[in-house]
Amino acid sequence: MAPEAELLSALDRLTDAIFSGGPPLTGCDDRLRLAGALDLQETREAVSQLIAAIGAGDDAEPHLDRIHHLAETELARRLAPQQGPEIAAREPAMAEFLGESGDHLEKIEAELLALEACPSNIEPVHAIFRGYHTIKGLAGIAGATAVRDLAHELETVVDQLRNQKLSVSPAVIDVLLKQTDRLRSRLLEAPDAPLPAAAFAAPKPAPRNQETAAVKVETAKLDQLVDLAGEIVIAQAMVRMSPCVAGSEDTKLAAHIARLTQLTSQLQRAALAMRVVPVGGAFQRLSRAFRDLAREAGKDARLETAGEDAELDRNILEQLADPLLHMVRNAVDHGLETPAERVAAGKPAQGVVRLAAAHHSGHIVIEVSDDGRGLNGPAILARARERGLVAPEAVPGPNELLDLIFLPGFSTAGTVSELSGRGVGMDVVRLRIQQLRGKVEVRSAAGRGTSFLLRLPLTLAIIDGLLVRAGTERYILPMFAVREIFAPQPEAIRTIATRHQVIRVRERTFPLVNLREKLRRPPPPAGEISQPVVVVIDWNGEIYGLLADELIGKQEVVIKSIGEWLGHLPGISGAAILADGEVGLILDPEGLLGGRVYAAA
Amino acid sequence: MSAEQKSRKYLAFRTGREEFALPVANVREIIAGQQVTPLPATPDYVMGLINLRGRVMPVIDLGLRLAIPAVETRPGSRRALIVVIQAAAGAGSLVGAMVDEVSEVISIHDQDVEPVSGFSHGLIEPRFATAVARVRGSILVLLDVNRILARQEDGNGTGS
Repeated sequence: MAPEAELLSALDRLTDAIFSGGPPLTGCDDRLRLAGALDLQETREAVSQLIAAIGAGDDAEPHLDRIHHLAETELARRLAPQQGPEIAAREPAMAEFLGESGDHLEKIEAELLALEACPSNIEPVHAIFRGYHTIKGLAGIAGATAVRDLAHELETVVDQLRNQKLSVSPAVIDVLLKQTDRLRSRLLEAPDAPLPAAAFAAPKPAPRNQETAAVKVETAKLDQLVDLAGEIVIAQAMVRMSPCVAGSEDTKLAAHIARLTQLTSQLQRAALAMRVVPVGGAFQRLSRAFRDLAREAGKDARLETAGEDAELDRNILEQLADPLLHMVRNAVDHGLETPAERVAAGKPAQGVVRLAAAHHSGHIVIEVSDDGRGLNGPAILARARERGLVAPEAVPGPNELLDLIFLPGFSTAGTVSELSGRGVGMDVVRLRIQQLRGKVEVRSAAGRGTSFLLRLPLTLAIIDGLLVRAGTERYILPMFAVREIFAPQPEAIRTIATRHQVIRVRERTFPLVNLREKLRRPPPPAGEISQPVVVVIDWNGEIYGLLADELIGKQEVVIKSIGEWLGHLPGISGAAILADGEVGLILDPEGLLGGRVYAAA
Repeated sequence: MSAEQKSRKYLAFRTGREEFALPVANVREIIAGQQVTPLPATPDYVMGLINLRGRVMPVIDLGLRLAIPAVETRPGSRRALIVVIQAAAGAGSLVGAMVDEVSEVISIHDQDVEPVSGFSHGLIEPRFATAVARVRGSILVLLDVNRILARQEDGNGTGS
């Protein structure tokens, strides 16, 4: 079995194990994905052992732990910020402890904020738990008992959240944030830690007290570097997969190729890292604009920001400037009430608009929220009907109702105000976010406020993809949207209402989309063996099955634009050059589910 | 298009049975045909995407775009070449145009060029032509790259 196929099959089995095995295995699938992405012999072996263990009915957990360990070690090595000579020269365990704890604290804080923003999502809880757990372990190694004990206490609290013995509330988040601060100050006091606070207060590439040499580089040159690094990754993959190399018995060659793979991947990450910037700068520019907006609108308001250190690709951040400004403007203009209205409603006169960013499972989530009047559902519906955006007799559900504001030509303002009547609606915001392969969601509660959540990839350059075949063509699915993969039993698929297919997965029924039919591709030539698979897609809670003709493998691909000339194609978010040099389309999980589109012109 | 220029260079090529020419200024290169990845939700004449040295480029079937009948010549010889064109010379996105055969680069004197109005080629829509030229006794249709690449009149091909 080819290594890729092996990893995939492991992923498949592991996912099954996770779903049937219960809590001890929860959250491990992410790690396996990482392990797969690492493409390392050792990890593959661990995965093989895992498969064997599962197959023999043995305990899978030690193998999972080993995969975790391998993945984490390698990831930490690859992702660790460049340590200054000061740190590197110190005693290894301590240096590692210091270097990593700061990162974990940052991550914990970001995840806590993400959890607060969306308490129903359990993912951050696991991440927070892992964070405390890791700090506890590191502190143990370094002999920092005070830190270890506090981390242990916090871990216990989060464990209760995990087991749902405790529910997420602002108070709990408050406590955890405060205690995380305490953890940070304990780290500073750790007896064996004579380093300046700056070394781990924030994951900066170099200590603050050290002059950092820097050169100015034109962004176009940086983009070129990233593109070239991407090309090298592809060229390298072509060499690695060419039959004479892949089939070679030469162990030396295999070792060289493995090293080359590792180096090219490092090169690409290093190039990408150069293009990454914290969101803080953009937030700062928005706070300046915010003051003027509030004054013009006659609102008493303050802007709160959080997660300024969260980083993402500069190119994405640039594209976000306009949509963010528009949403802040909407919040001030339409979201917040006048001071008099607020007081009458029993709220503080001063309104709050909040901008928060946090990393969340390989993505960045940016929230723009206000504590204003909330969206007026009946008014939205009335306006949508007036504009002919919904049928007169249609009664949209609560979520569909709010989504109406994203339709082209929609505006909730009764009068066109100076501030918001600038021709940029939420439809433009959504389009821009979609172009960045992101998603925007709105939540609102009457009298309590409105919140927009933007979920965006950290970079536009690479994606962890799952390669599938539909008809004669190969397509790439973004791995982050893949929940599980399995070979369907014929009886699990049912056709309802003569046209729509559904699939049963462990007592639940989901819509099933036949990829080949959806993309209007002809069936593969007769006689070709088809090994259909169902890829279960989870796109922000919307779950459906995607039926493909074959699972080919997992591949990290460099995302290429399909070009301005074609514009936006529904169901397609981009293209990539596959290992054999041909182009593969990257599918947009959201666009595929929509019943609309796909009429060939 | 400055008036003082006496002659301009065009790339002459064949698609179907017809000879056409494109201004060399709009032609970036000519590459051999290769595997095209088809795209959903696009007009018929959009063949799909190809890998142009690490860059993803859309390819159109020029014959289908001009709505001229295809002819089957020698097996395997058809659709062998892709002319890489660009709407604005030196700028704008690259699009590949699949043609059947590339003939030559020719210089056409301004006095040999006649406006397309009043002339009916009978095969292609006049909007795709900028002019016709008399070259060695035969008539060559000069194509308008901008019109060929214009997507507005496609209707809902790119609608979301």
